Amino acid sequence: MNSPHPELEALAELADPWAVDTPPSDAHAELLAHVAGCPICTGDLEALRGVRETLRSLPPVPMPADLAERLEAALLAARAEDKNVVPLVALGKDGSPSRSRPSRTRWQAFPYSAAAAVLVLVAIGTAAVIGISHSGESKKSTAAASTDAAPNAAAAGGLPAGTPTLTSGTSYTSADLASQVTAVITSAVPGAVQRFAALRNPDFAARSSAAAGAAAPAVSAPAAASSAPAPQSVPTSALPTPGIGTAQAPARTAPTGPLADPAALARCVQILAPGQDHALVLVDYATFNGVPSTIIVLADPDVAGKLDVYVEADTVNCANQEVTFATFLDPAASPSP
Amino acid sequence: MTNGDDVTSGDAADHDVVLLKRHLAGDPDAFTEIVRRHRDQLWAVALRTTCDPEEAADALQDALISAMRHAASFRGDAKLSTWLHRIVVNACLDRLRRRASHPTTTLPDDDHAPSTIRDEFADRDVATDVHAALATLPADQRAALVLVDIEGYPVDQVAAMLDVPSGTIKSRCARGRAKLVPLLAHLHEGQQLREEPGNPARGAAVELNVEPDGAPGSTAPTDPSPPSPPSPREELR
Repeated sequence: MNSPHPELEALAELADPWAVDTPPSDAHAELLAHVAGCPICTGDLEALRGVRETLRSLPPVPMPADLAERLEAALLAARAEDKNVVPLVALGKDGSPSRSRPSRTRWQAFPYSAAAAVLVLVAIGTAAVIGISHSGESKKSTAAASTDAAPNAAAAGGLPAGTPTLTSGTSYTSADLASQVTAVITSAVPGAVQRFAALRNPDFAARSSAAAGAAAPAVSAPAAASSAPAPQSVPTSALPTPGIGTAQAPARTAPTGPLADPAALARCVQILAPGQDHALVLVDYATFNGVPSTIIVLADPDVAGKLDVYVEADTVNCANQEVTFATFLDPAASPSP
Repeated sequence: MTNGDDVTSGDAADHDVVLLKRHLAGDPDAFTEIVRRHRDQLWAVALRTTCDPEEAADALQDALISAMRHAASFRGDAKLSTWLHRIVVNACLDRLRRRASHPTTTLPDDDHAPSTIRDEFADRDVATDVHAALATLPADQRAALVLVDIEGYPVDQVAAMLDVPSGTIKSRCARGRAKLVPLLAHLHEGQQLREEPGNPARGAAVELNVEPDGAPGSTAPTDPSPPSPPSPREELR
């Protein structure tokens, strides 16, 4: 036995998982040869692997509840004193940005792409919406099945029945996004006005009607659409397989693109609100700033009464790096620091 | 709704990106939700890196506020959870360095630290012993082991988190594990040692690695085995 025992640290590197993946160096080969014929070093190597296993199998350490509360309070306080964190655009009375100066920088600083955006509407005093459907009958079943059905629906590659999926023909723009979305929700989703107080807000109502005249997204007034063909509402409850509709023209007259696939849409919703796809309020296949986009409206799973409106480019991955977000807060609802 | 498994999945990581962008766009609730999704894991890292619940809580608070304010600097080339780990572990190491350079405060290697952390993991014998043993390591080695062995991060990601070469992380892990062998030997070999009290090989390894620089003997668990015969390894030195 001529070769000296290696240092324990050298053996420790042999015990590393990456030592298995990487081609052994000459030094490692020498070590391994020694260990193979040396019971002492073999035992040491086992002990080192035991240390790794022990560390790996340590139980999780949940954060104590009082610390979790303290952290959230600290974050809230920090945000309140941080003048940089303001809504991107807070809508004024005429729908124009009222606090655009500080936030415009943020908008530009953030890698911008017109491909997609997120609009977050805050509605006051409303409960979170569980499920929405077009008839009272299926509404009841949606609400009853929502909790259990949601994960299953995602796993099965589809969305819960009763999700209003439509092609409103709206040409959404970043400037008018809030009012356009408000108009579509108001007209296409029965009961939305009752559920989301912000939709009844005079400011919102004014913007809604203006947007309805300009973009004609309302399902109830299809003739108002100028270039776009008549919008059609396609509630999934009325179709056996939602989103299968064949594309007839480049204009968005029917669900097209990757997100027209129910499985892709379900996965997208899963990313936007994990485990909460029963909170889906509306899906509108339309355009945003001239780019084919899918507008997805969700009841915020964490904040009761808040509407999250996502505008997704027609990509399979809803969270790819092209996604850009805009947030609009109803001034009446936004917490003023 | 969210748990550890969720957060490691691709969809969950994508939802982190969605939440971060909502935060950047001014959504007042988005960052809080990000914290809720990762707080248990971040807390475990902070606690195990600092070995002190108070230090860990302060470091975590500093780190999360910093992350919230500098969220725009997240580049998206790593998972958000990785980025948060980086900020948290560096906040912990900064605190430890500051404390080490401050004469009036205690060092993590002092008796105070293991006893405090022991309270935090009451009723968990193995975890208690492991955390006490980890507390005896130099902070850099401990952080590497926490991230690589406990959290399971790849070496190159940990190297990026701590701004050192991958080789440095590997050697910190190797040195740290070598120091832990004698301190944790009773967890794996205690039974065997009691049955075979004369096992010279194990005894040699245990004695050899209680080195004065890294392991104050106060926290080392007592070895149940009787004094070993002269170690063959020692003779070679």
